[in-house]
Amino acid sequence: MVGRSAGLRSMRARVTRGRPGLGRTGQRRLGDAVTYAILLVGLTFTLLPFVWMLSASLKPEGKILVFPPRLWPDPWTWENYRYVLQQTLFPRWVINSLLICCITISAHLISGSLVAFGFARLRFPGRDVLFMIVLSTMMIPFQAYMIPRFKIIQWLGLLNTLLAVVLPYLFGSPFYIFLIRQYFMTLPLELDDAARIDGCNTFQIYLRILLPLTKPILATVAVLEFLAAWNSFLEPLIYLNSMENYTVSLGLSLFRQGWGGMIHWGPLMASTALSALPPLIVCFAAQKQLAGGIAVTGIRG
Amino acid sequence: MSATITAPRQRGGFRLRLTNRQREAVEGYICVSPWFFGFLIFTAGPMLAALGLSFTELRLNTMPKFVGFSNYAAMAKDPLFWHSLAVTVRYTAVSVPLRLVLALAVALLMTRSLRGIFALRTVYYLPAVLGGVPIALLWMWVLRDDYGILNYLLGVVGIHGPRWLDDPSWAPWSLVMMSAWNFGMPMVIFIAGLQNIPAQFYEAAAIDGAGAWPRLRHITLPLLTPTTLFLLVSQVIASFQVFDIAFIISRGDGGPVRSTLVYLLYFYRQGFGYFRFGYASALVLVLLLIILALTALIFRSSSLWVFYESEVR
Repeated sequence: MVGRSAGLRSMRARVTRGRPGLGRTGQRRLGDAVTYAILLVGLTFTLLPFVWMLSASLKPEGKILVFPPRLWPDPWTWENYRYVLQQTLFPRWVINSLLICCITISAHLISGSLVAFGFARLRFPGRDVLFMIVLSTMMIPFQAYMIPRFKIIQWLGLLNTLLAVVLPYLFGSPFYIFLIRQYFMTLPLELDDAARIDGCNTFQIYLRILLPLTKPILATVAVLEFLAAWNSFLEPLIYLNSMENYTVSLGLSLFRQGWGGMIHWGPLMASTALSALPPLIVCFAAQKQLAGGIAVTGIRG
Repeated sequence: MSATITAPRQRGGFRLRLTNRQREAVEGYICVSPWFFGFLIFTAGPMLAALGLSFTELRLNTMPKFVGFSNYAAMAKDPLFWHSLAVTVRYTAVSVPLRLVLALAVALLMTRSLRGIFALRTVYYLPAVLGGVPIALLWMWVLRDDYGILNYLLGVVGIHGPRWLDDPSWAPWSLVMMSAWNFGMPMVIFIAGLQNIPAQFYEAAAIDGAGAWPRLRHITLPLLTPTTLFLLVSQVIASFQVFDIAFIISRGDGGPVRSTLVYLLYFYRQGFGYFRFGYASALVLVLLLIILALTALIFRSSSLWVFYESEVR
């Protein structure tokens, strides 16, 4: 599909360029210039909040709330970052969030791929009905069953533990099962048959033959789950209540309450910048994987 | 054991084939069992429980007490239920079209083959990887009425900027702005949709001498409607579930003067502020019904405006 659309794009580009009237090259150059101009104006809208955040985070206290606002910090200081990293629980929250990400990513890769393998490669009565259930639960918002889930976590005695946040996600989630299953479906069935003739049992086919071939989609799942777990807010909010157990998002919302009733914008923007860093790095480093997830469905959005 | 495995799967004797089948079935159930277990305990069970709870009165540490339909009856008379629903509907009605139009406009520009377009695409997509909390915090800083950059820039062109976050008539607009800023996801899906439009339509149009506007109006937009439908549905659903940004800008209370009290924030306050679990369950199930009804409505309307290539008109 990707190859096809790339081909189409270049074909279409050729067609759309051929306009009557003005010289072909002249008109194309004009169109390109206008496009660039509009996109650069839009770029300002996109980047301004980021730049404005960085600017505040690098200003010393007393130079932040000034009028007229100055974009360029003068003098520069890392004081706000030092404060956030040394005087607050922020590093602890980063560790908590990373821990949650690692556990849910591993769990989704293991159980997600196993379940997807079952749905894609094995025949059993009720398979299609069960898969329809997987698909339909993808549509139900988490809030719809949030209260009973909270009661279950409470009943298990897990409130205010990190385990509460990860436990419901250890068994695979519909969206990832769907993604991986679709990928399994594209692999030829002859692979399984050949492996079986060579003496592999079903589990070996899953582990040794098919799983290595699904690395691209597993990478996509890992990236999507990292973003989802890192950004998750409502679920940690209801389970966690002591500050040492907070995630980064929860910690930020605590900083937003202010220190002694006053919001300190320097440290707040420094911690916001730090919290935005991992997703932004992922966005640059894992473009291919992100695009892979979006190509199948754009459900997460 | 190895005999069963190496036996030909398709052409084996009747008995052998049956056992292989059964064996495969057992293995299949084992493979999907993790999901099924999680589904029963953490999704289906809680889902049914929520339905049950909505007919009870339940506090933090009490047993549920059956109260019939009184939670639903109370909702009908609860002004804050209607208010939060109205806030959410207004937010959706403004932010979803705005987001989609922005996303489509940028996507149209992005499909031109220009140098550096992929880098631009990535930068435009950046906000989409952030969570609601950092987005809200970034924008709170941009929108500060006294020292914020936006009001300063507005002042440069002679507009006296409003008190975005403290004025109840402007606070919902700051939510809209945050959501409009975050149009990367629909943009990328629009780009994919645009690239799937077959080139021969444009070739034919070029031969007929059609200009840019007729091409957009009669080829691009109609052939893009399946993508638009998908995005409309998913964005409306997501927009009805807005929570994080409203929670952050209002410190969780939906202020100023309840102007950002979106539906889920009201639900959260009932459930986890006052621990009225029964009433909160009723609230969230009604939201689910509203979302389902809206989705159905959009799909029903799609026969009027969505164009599928296989369809003859």
